Amino acid sequence: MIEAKNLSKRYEDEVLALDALNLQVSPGEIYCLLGANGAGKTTTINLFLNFIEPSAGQAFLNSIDVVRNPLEAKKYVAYVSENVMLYGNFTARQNLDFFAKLAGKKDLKKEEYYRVMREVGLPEKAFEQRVKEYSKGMRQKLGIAIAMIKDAPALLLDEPTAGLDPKAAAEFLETLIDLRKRGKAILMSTHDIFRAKEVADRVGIMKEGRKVMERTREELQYENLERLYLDYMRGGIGPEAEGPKTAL
Amino acid sequence: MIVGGMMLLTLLKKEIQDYLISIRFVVLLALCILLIPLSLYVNFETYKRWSADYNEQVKSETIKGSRGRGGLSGLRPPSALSVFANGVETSLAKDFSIQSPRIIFGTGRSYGDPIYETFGRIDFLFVVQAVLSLIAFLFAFDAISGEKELGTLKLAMANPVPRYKILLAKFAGGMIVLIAPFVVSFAIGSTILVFAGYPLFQGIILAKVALILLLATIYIGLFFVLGLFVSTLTHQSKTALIMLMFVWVVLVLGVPRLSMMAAKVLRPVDDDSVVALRIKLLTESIDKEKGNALKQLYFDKAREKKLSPGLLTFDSADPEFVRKRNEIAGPFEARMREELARINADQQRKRQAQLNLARNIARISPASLLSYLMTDIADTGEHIKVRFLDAVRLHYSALDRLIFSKSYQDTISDGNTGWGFGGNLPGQETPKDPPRFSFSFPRTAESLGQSVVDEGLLLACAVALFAAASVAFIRYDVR
Amino acid sequence: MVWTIAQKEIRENLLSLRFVLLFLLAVVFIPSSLYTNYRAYLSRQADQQQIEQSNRDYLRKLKLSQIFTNPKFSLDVYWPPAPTSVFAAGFEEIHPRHLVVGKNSVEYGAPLDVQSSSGLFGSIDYLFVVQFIFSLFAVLLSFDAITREKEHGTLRSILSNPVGRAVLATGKLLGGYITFAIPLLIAFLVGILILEISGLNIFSGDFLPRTAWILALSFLYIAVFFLMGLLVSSLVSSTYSALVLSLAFWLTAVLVLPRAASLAAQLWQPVKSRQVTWLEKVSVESSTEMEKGRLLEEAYRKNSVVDKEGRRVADEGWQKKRDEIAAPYEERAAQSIRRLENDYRTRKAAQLALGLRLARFSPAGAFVSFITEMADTGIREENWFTAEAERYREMLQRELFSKIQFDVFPTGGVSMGIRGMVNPAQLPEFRLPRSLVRDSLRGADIAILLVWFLVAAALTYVALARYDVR
Repeated sequence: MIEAKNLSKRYEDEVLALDALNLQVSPGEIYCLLGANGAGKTTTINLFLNFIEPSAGQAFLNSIDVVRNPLEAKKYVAYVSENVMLYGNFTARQNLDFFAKLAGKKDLKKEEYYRVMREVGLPEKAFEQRVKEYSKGMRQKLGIAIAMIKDAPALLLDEPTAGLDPKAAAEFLETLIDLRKRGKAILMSTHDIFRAKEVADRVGIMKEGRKVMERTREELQYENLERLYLDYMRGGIGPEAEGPKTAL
Repeated sequence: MIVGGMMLLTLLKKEIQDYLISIRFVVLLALCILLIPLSLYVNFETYKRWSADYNEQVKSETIKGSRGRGGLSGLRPPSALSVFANGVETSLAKDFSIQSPRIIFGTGRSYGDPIYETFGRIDFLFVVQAVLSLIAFLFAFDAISGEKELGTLKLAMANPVPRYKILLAKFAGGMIVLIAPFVVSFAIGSTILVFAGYPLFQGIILAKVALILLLATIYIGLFFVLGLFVSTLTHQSKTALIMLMFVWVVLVLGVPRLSMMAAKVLRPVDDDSVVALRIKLLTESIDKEKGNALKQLYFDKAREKKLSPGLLTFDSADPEFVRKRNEIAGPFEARMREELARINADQQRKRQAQLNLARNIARISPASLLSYLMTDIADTGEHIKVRFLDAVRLHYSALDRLIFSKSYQDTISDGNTGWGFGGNLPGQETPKDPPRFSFSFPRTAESLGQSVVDEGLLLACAVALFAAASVAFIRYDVR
Repeated sequence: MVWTIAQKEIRENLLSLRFVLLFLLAVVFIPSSLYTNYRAYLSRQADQQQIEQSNRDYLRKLKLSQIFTNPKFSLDVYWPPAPTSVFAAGFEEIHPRHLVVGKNSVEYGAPLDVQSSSGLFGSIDYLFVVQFIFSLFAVLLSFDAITREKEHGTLRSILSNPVGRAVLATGKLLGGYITFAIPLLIAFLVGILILEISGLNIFSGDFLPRTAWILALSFLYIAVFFLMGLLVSSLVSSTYSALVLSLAFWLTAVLVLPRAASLAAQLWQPVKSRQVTWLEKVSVESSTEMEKGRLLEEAYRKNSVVDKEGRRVADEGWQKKRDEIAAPYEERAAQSIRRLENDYRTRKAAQLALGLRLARFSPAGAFVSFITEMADTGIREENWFTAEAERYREMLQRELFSKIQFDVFPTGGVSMGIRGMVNPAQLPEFRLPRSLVRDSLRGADIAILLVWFLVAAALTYVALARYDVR
């Protein structure tokens, strides 16, 4: 569903932001991408969304090449950015309505919107409230609601739990699990090792543009993810051999 | 004390650096360097041309007894300082001609340049009044609110630095960066002028130019402080910006025009052409009455000489006839003079009233205030119009005394036929060399005197705004 | 999809401070200025009618003797103000609305007032509000259209959906356009309504078609500025840069460029002042008069006899001799004067054309040019009025001037007479034909604005396609 094949990005100033990424996320799977700032997580998401063009390799959403057919590909992905940004002067419902229409869902009734907002845990009185008065947690919930109403098979989440208090983060994870049950393919970039361990089916660690490690949930039961992560960050262990490297 | 001074200096340096690397500084620099010297130069060329024209015509013989419909004429000299502020220089009539009892202005031979009037003109006054004021706002709108948004305000205030110093540094930093390109461009422009032959160092001109520069600086400072003030009123730069744009539109574009329009509506003045028509009708009716009164006298004379009235010539050798004629015609002519004087005085009074009202309303906005001030100093303001008209009327009176009153024009009508008699009254000498029209610009003390109040107003405004900004900033929520 | 985005834009704008202020300014200034200018127009029209009436009375009472005893006899023609001038006030005074038609040339009549134009400042009229206020606010509405969404993050939210960049641009353009169309339309209609109530019959003449054109061009003009703001927003990534650049553009396009044009034209092709030309004409006339007079006097002596009462009387052959001598001089004078006149007119027209061309380069200049023409107060209207006066002069030349004979002798004598039939009561009247909308329509101005619009639109689409949305 979400697939990257040798995806690479080199910027004009010679910085190699992403080096031959290979990644697959299947429906009903949550994949967490871990890594320090600048490791390439956000670049990966930007490439999937065709906000930038890859220097090499391909990115697929629902088997559609996002570079060749961006508009088609975007029909199948929902995106929740870090710091969900909304139109402050609009109410939650108006925001929802706007993005739903952009997603191609026309003629949805008010009750539909209310239902989705309830589902993500937003309080009733907040439905017609101006979004600029929302707390961070509420904004995040609305972001999920927007993604849910699109009902796309793939979900891209950029640091979704950053800055959330423990309660809100927990609520968010519940929603995520629910979405996985519905068969969505979810790619999530995060710093939050703790929560990644809780919810991920697979985990990938990125360092300086390369995916240096990948572990499944089962494997993680026997290995200490935190230790692994920190070791890699400190630069102790080199990357595991994984497929051909591109010469750029 | 020294530490305090150093802190201020640090803040000041940061402000200046901030500005110098920004786009708005580049825009300011570009606009100043392009517009100021160019406008000075081109306006000087125009002035030179008019000056040359003026001198040529003054010398030419056609001033005396031109081949127009008979009459005397005069010219209005250009003002050297119009190079800095055009004012009414190009729109006010440049000449007049007298065809007693009418005074015709502009004699239709030189209308203002239509492109100039349609699209507006660029002079130093305009650049300062409209362009630099907008840029001052552009420099000031995010001075406080911007730092708050960035979060750097909190950071600065976590140090032992009093609020007023921050504001002072912002003010001083902004002013330095605003004024420097402006003054430099002005210097460049003035140098070009001097090389092109402008009499910068002649008489009082240099002092006036210095005053103009000073006023411009105060004006720019005023707008910058106003921008600072608005910036302290809101936490969002965008809001400050929109408010300032609105204020700019109202102050620079709106109030000046409104002041003129309001004055015209509240104290209307008839157009010259309408007054001329009124005078013409009046003259005709009094002439007719006079004619009827004189009819008998002329007919008697004609019968005495056994001539038809058409062939009658004025008998200056008959003092009795002359005396009788003057006796009858006298009161009518006196009445005509009185009425004329009254109409003209009335018109002049109305003009002055309209002008005063416009000026009072204009004081609401520093932009219109600046226009009045600068044109006052440059002798191109509305007051020149009044002064010119006064001088012309004075000249007319002198001519009337010396020439017009010494000739006569009687029109007699009898049914469908009419005869005109005219000529010089006997025993009255008209000077061979009638007095020339001369127009002098107001003396410096005079022109500055009336503007001192306004200058004070401008300065006071700037100071008040700074105080307001200080107060607002002291209470500003920096979180 | 386009409409979804447009709708969101409209809703966003309607809630913003800038829209409120714009609405306020428009709804206050447009109707009130229309009304005030209408009153001024009425008063000017009344004055004009008074003057024309007095002129007609004068013509009615005109006697033959008054005509031929006056070598400088001339007729006055007038150009009445048009009701559409309520849209662009203050321009009538800069054009001569009174011409004096004389034997050899058409001269300007005395101007309406000692001072043309409104003096130090312009006036507030519809043209002013649209030219300055609407264009400024159009830029203020659009300068951060893209950058604020980018900085806010919502740009990414939008583009994570199947929304093409072109669709986004169109949506933004449409939304913005409708946003400022609302206050303009409302203020305009209110203004027109007030005019109708005040007594101006908007359905008479060509008032409505002209008004429609004015409104249409206003929309185009504002759209150009909105697009320029949008373009700048699509070129830079920070709202702040977008602001400075947009404002700089507005300043230059609206305040600076049109004025710079007149400055440049003055430098480029300075024309001898009209005063000097007039002096030259006068001197040509007087010198030819003198020469003619001298020769005529000699001839008169030869062709006359002294009668019983000691007065000189012309003999039979005099008239023919007189014509023989006078004709070439009068012809020469006429031609020289016409040449001076044409010379001046051509050069003045060239300077005018250059100035206009330069001024119209900027959208504000093109807009002003179009509106003043459509409102019947334009620069080119002066030429048309003068041309009509010239035609009238030629008519008068046939009917009147060619039949008047006026000779001045150096010794002080004057001979005047009329040859042929002249009936003052039947002199042709000056009729100024209505200027048609078709004639006032300046296609070039429309084209200039369209070019600005299309180029800006094209560049915007391109810029947005390459915009870095991260």
